Amino acid sequence: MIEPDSVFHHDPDVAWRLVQDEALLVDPRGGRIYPLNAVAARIWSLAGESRSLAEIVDTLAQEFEAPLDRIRVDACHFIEKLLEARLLIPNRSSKGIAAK
Amino acid sequence: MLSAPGSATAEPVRVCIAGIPFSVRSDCARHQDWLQSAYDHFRTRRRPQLHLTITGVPRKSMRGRSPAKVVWHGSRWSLESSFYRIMEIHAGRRYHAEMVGKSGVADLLRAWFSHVLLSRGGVLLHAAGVVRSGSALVFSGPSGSGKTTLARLAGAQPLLSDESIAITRGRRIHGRTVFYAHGTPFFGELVQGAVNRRARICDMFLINPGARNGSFRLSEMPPAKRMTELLAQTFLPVPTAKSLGMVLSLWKEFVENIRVRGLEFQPTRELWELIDDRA
Repeated sequence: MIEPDSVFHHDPDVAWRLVQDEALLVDPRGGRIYPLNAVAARIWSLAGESRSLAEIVDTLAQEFEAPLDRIRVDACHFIEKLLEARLLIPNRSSKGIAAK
Repeated sequence: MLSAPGSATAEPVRVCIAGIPFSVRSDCARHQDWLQSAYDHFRTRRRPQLHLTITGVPRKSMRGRSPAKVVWHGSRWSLESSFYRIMEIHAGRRYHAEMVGKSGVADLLRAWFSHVLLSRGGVLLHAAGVVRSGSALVFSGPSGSGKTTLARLAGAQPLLSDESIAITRGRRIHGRTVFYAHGTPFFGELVQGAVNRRARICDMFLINPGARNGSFRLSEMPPAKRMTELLAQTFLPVPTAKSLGMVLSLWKEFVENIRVRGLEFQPTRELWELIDDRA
């Protein structure tokens, strides 16, 4: 489970572009391509702006019509995936992923 | 310190691909003969902007550099694989390549040119390109997807390539960025019939190789999907964050300005009539 005050940054080796409201990430280390839909692209953008998880969830709740709890769970799950894939890196000052 | 090669006595072959004139010279007579023959349609009298020399070296000197990688020496790069090493001697002007063995010069040249083209804002794409009414229709897809079949069925229309197309940006016209498709000599079964010209791209088709059970179908795709497919067919021997960023920028602008659709087809005589009707 990610702590609400966790802050992240994009791995500098990852190339990415926003295209309309979607995004495309490419990791040259493994050659993998990650197309992101509109919501995932927004989470990716916000996570790269040094916003905490709580701030990301609040911003998504204002922009997308969905229950706050659902947004929080989905955002957490997606950010965990990004961290596992080493596309996103927790900032040193944040606690990152807490022990499950 | 990257050192310049020893002199080669053969006369350099002057070639122009995608509007980039360059000279290439090898110390191997077999390579020289191959260059003059394989690149015959792309020979030029234009003054070269770039110069590439190729020297044969013993296999042990490569020391198993696999997979291929880009190595930076200050501001200059070298591209190193298990059988060649391409070094930038004078940034953007002079290059020297060392290679093992007598075969593989075609791969070396394509790898070198793809980097040169990228440095000038273009990319090499696995695609067939045909000129219809002065504009280019480009068909991209993996090996075996039907690019050569499409090209063969195009009849007498000028063929840019059935394997590798160079894509470059032009200026903006009426608020839209123009993109050009250029013929290249890089591989392809029909390479001898390829024309050394460019044409403005009016349509890009992404071939779906798995769908051969139906007839002709064009499909729309989300923009990220279009970029994914194009990126997957972009020739980039050693992707780095920097080079991928450049490629992504080009494809982003491309999908925002050029119609890109999925294509499923049966290789029939009526295929090009259908393409012309729907393009």
